[in-house]
Amino acid sequence: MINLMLIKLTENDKRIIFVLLAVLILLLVLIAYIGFLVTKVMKWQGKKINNYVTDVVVNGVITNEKDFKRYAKKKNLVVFYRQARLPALILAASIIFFVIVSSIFGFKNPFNYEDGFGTLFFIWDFSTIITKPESGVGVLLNWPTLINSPHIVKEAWISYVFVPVAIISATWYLITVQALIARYLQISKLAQKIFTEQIENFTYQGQQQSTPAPSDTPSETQE
Amino acid sequence: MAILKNVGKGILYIIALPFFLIVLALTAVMGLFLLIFMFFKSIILFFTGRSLDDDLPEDIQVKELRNGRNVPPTTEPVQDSQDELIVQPYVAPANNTTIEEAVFGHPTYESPTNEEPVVEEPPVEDSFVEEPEDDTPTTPDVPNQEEPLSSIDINDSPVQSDVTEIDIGQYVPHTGGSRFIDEEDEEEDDSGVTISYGDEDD
Repeated sequence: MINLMLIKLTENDKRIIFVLLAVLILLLVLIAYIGFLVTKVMKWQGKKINNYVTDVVVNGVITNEKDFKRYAKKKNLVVFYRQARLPALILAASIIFFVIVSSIFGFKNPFNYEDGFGTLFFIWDFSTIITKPESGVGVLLNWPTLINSPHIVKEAWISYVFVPVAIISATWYLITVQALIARYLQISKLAQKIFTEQIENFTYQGQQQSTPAPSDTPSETQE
Repeated sequence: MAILKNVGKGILYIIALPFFLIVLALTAVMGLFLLIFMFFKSIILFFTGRSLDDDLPEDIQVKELRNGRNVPPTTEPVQDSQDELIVQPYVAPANNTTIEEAVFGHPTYESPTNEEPVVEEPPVEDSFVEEPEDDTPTTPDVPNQEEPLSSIDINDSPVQSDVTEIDIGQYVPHTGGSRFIDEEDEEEDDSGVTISYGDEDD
């Protein structure tokens, strides 16, 4: 520990640390923007529930928070069913296809790089880059070795069909699940805003505009 | 400063990401069960003549309310013959709100129906110069708010001005009709202010 504190940084070390710090900051900013994008998308997804609950609230059919949440959740589930049934169906169909074909031709890992979907990608072996002496910390010495270049294997056709379809449908399904969560959040936000915070948003001016009785206003009655 | 804010947000998102992924995964699994449940429910509803898209009781209430509001007597369908049905266009429900109220808010003035009817002056039919029948001055001496602008005596105005000549124009309305006053009809009052009524373009 004492030895670590006594380490003197050379000019080169300082430059490396500065570059690493800059890369870290850029990475965090990038993550922040991605998170901001996800938040924006979720807000946009959540606002779609407004179309389904506007009529019952505006026409005064629902007048309390509990009924509003119950009604909005029912609508939310129906919307989710409508949105998610197609990707779920495609995902289920691709899995059934893979199971049936694998039972005929034999099961194989669909992602491997010998006769699976991995044959279409560059694959490196990172286990060889660290040389670990008998005593001491491992040191980075080698570049990772390339163990696969993209090529097509005829026996991997099942994976070529199954993996892309499954990934696309799963992503599609996850987006609908994200929309479901976003709508749930929007429902709770709306319920709080419409029924709970009514008194906080109340202004006498607004009340005056909504009631066509100018003679009842205090300013005129006082006069 | 903004970049530091973004860095902080990035750290927060990194911390929140695992929780979000857990919620997403749990909801995805729950959603699968929900899909299966609703699939069988939709099948049962199909054989009972209903569907998941059927209106909820609240929706039915809204429709009833709307139908109750949207059927004023004027919107009844008009039938020219028994075979042909002409449907009137959609009329927005009357919410006891007039256009003026919608645009300017609820009125604080009296209804125009309570006021005296506005008598419009007849339009000018020709443009010949009409001589006054008597020698009475065309511009009244006493200023009145209800009278036209040409009758204002600037000497009574609280604002003192250096203007000594006022060009009022050709058209001078007065009670009982309109008339054009000749270029020669210039008047000079006691204070030395000259009032001219402009030129005629005939």
